[in-house]
Amino acid sequence: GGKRVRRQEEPCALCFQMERVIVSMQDPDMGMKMRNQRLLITVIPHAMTGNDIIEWLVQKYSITEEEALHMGNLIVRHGYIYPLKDPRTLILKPDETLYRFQFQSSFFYHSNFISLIFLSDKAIYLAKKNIRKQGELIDYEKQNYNHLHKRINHTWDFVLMQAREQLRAAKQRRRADRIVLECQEQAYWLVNRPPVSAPRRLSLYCEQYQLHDPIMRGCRPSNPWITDDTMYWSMNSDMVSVPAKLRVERWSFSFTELLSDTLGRREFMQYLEKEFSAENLCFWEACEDIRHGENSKITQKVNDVHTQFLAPGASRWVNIDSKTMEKTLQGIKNPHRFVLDDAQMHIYFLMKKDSYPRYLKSDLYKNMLAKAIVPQETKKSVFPFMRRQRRSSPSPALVP
Amino acid sequence: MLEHLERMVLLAGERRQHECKTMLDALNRVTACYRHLVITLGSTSDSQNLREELRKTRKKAQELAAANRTKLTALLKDKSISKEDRSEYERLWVLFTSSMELLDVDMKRSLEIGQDFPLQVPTRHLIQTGMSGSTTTVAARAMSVQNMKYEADSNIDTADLKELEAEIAQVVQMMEEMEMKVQVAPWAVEAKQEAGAELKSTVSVVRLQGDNPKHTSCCCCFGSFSGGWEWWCACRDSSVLGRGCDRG
Repeated sequence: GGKRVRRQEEPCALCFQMERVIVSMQDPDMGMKMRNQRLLITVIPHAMTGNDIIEWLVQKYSITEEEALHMGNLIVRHGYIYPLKDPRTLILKPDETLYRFQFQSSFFYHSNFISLIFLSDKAIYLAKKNIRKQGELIDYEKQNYNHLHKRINHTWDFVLMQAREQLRAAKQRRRADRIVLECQEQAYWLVNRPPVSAPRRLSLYCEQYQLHDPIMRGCRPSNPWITDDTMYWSMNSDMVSVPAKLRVERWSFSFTELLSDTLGRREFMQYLEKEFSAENLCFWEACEDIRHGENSKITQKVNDVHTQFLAPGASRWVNIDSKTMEKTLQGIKNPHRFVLDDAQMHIYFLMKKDSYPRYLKSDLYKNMLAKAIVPQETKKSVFPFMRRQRRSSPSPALVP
Repeated sequence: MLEHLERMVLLAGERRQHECKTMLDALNRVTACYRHLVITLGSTSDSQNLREELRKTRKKAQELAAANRTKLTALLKDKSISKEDRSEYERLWVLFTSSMELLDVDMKRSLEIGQDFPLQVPTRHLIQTGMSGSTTTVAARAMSVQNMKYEADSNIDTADLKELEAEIAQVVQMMEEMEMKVQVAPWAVEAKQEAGAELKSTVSVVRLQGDNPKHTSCCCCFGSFSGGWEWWCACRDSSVLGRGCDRG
């Protein structure tokens, strides 16, 4: 069993820390000293240099410059602060490069990336940019635009209507504020993750995950990085026969949690087989395989999916509405990585709304929860933010 | 005589569509303004005035939402309208629900940030984002007035929050009711504007499809809009034409 990377979101403790730092920086007496940014005729307040930031961190937290640089880089990478001149380079430069705070410039409350609002928001942003730049979007922006246009085509009229109106609303602001808004929005989409904008929202999310966060609660039996005992990893590896209780609990947090855990997904498949709707999950998996798989195999895979799941009389026919089916069958004639997106999404939500809640109430899940284990702690875990002696493990790179 | 009557019916239909579109345009405008105001919360441009602007804009949005919903649901329930008209109303319906989703999300954000940034508390510092101007003209645009009038008490930043919470619950409930009562599958709708249409200064709203589109929303399925796409097919027959069936 290998290392278990902890979800795609950041550990809660880290976000908490960063958020507190940002708020401290706003203190009128003890916070950051702001500078003005001068752009030809416009002056925009609230700018700070990379040097300013590092100096402040060093003083405030009594840390070394190296540590401050590291912390500062984390803060920039997470989008709390963004560079003004070179927005695509999300690093903190220890020089006169200017930065500014970003705060909830665009947002959504769904931590689930599949949320339609997230997609609409992004599409609206790109459409606005398209208008402002008169069609001159950068390559990857054009790609994103076209991809979104296919993916949420049914709501495209709304996207364009809203884009135009948002631009008109922005015109009501003075020029300096307009510039800030544009830069903020761009910075946000470059970081491209849900902003940790409100401590309350964060605290709700963190409350749920707090018991599950190995940094906050310690790992059981022990943190492998401290004790060199890899039991924690092997116990939580993909296909153990008896999983940890915390892990099984997480399956009830969201459908995504269940699906992204190999064991959870296998359990769910078992359940669906009992319900005679396993073809849904099989179809979903096949679509994922196409989305993330090799280019050269796409055509073959799409055809296989068609034969198995979509063609009339298919052995594992999936129940998609006729309009999506029609659109998909048409699209399959020119197969590409995303051609099954609509159909996949339909099946995803079918499972999420229908089978998933029933699975959580099922005996299969309840039994799994009952037999899941809570390992004994072998060593008191140390709160990681305190300084401690690090023992270096023998590096595999060392030549004997 | 028959021709004349037919023409009258057509004109009435066109007028209805036009009214719908106008109301939707208004809702769209207010939604965009509200979004703009919400973005300003918690930053150095935040103020008691902003909180009042948010409140007023929100109320306006709700009025427009109710009006749009009433009109569109009545039209979608009308079984006598032509297939072409129906597909157009379904398109307008998707426009409407998309606006509502955005409003819903923005209202929730406005509640959370409003709670976390009460303006009277000296220890809660606003985030220095570089914005410093006011949003009064944005709000005026939403309200379709020349200038905003500020009448609220100086504690509106906290006083309004309870009402906001209640209104969010109302919006959520309304959207759930809409899902149950109106049978439109969101992805059965085709946008009229193609990619890049925003670059044309006057957008010609031309039908992209040639023939009558086949309506294939299952009469037993409910298009669900609260999270976006979710929908749940209760029956296995997904090829019933959208005329409503006995089970519906």
